[in-house]
Amino acid sequence: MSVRLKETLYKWLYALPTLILIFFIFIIPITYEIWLSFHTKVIGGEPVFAGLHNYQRLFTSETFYKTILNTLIYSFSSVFVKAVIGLAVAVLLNKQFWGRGFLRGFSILPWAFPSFVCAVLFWFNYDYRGMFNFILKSLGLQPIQWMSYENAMFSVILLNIWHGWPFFFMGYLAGLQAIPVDLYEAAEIDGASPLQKFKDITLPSIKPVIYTVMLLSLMWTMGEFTQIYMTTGGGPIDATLTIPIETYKIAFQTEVNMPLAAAYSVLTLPIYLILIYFTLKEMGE
Amino acid sequence: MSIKTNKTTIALGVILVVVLLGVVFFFLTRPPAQPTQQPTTPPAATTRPKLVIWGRATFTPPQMYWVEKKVREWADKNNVDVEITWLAVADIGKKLIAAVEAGNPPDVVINGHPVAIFAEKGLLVPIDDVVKKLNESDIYELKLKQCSWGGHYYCISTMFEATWLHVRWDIVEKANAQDLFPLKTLDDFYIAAKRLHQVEPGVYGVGLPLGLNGYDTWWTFLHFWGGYGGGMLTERSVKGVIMDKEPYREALKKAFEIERKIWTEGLTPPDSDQWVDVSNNNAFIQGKIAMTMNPASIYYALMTQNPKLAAVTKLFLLPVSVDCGDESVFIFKTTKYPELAKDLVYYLFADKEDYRKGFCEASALYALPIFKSQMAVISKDWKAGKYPQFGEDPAKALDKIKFMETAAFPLGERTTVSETFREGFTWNEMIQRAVIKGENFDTVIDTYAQKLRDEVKRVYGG
Repeated sequence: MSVRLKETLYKWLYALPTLILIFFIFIIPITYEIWLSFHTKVIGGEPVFAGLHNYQRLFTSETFYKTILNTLIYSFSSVFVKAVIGLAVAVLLNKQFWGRGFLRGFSILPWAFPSFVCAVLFWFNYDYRGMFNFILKSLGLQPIQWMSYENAMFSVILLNIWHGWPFFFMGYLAGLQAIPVDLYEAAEIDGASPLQKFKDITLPSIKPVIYTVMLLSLMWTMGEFTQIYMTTGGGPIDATLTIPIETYKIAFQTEVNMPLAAAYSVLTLPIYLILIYFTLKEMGE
Repeated sequence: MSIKTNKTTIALGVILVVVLLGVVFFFLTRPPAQPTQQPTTPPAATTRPKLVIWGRATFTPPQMYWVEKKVREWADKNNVDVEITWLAVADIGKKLIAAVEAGNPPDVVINGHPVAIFAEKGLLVPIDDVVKKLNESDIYELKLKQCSWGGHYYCISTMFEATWLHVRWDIVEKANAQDLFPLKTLDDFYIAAKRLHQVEPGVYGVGLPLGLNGYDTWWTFLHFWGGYGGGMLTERSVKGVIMDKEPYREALKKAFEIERKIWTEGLTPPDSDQWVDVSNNNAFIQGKIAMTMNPASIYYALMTQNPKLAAVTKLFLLPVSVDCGDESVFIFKTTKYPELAKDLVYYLFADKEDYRKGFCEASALYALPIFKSQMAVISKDWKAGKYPQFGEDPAKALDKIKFMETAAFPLGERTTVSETFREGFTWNEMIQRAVIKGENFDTVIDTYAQKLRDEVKRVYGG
């Protein structure tokens, strides 16, 4: 056996535990889920083959499209704002000044809180008599119904932004620190303005980091459950009903219909697979 | 072929093999189809029996202490091991469903719900003999009906959870509105809200729960929907759906109207549309509202958190009222020890006086007994001045209860659809569309009647 082949085999051997785990906790359950989505099943009963019935139900349901739309609005607007704030703060805190270390540490605080803690914090903030309205009133403004039908989506997005932007900040900061200082010095000698330096050096240098962080965050945000469930539960009515919340509700609340919930997940799986593909590609894998 | 292409091919091949192996493994390991779960034969007598018990945590801890005490007493007497787990109100339904789906439900559920979803699928042990031993005629008919499916009893309701209108009597006196209580008609609810509104600056006339994610929204509305003569289901079939037929449609519209008036006129706090179950409790305890409907858990909390307010709070039932007591004791067929489990259920209620004192009176009558004999004792005590918080005789007040939170009406029985529509907050969604968003009542009714028909068809097949 050649040394190279031996090495390769060893590498596979080391990867084997992971493969086994993936096999048992991902491949088998997902196979079951796909299989179940083609059945109907009452609680405690045996699945009965139903062909495409569940998929047909979903495609003809207004709620399905509403949840897709809500999920896209929630995820893309949240990720976009997080990316902008994260980049701005990263650029700012990449400069040398007194107290920078403290500010860097302080900035990642929201991200360090678990989702449920953030949800509880904002629950109190969003209360009609809560902190946000107290601030608005102190400024002489009218209080807002933060969780009303019209405002609920904005409110859950705001919560997600508050919780998630430090992840972008940390990613970008790492990327910024990897840019050689010589590049900026050379640009300065050539008389480049700060905007030109940012546009022509900073952004291109951290482009892979920007993409990777955004894709990862997009995946997580699309799958966000805790924050929405604990603040609005998908409501009022269907104002913040996203794919994960609706899947959970179908499985355990509104219908107790596992096959339909499985079909829901199966239909949304390609979105995640595409995101995973692009993320891995950006990471050079 | 380049090295890169080779590597990609190998990687794809490996993924494919792993996936295929997974699929093959899944189909090989799937157990063959089983008939409906049957009780298994008890193991040899040498093993000490063990019962796994799940309980729903109650709002009044003494009830849990009493249940624990009774279960352990029984276990000691019968040489049985017991494992008790208490689950939060919002969790127990989902955990039971997940456990049943995983094929591993508990043996006994105490104070739990839902029930119909399991009973209708034949997953529970019939307990007719236990009910008979407890003297069937001593149990309120409403409570018996809530546990009966196909002529058999599958559960015992643990209590009446009457939904009392908690009223700030000091505000009532200021408004000189004593004559309104107890309310004579459902319309009086709106009149009272208006009379008591801002009598004390900043105190709203009523706390009307209208949030999406709270059971209170549903059963408060049920008072009006049912009370005005509405109906949901007459039988377990599509043709049994009557909510959009006259005169039931008109009654439902009337129910929407009264709540919409209260909402649009600002008689309830502006954030009531975001309330969860505890929100109206808090609003009352903090003195922000003059009245609200709730099980007597508000009064129980007031006794410790705000005794001054407790002293000026009076409780009445609406002229047509709703019981929220769907909490029940039931046994899953998967238990290895059905007879032991039944004996435990019997033991919990056999000493009716102990049940009244330990489970009902200890909760400040948040729970009212299911036994007529024990209600008679409470009625006697009320007349003797023992429970000044009640504005009317609790035993007589129970006669006003015509509906139950998770039962289809006028059918009067718990059904899978009435349980899931409540559990999934589907009715709350309907209420919000009509009351908060002000959508056309007829359109809303048509939409949700269709939803109900679809679900009835899915569950009962036609």
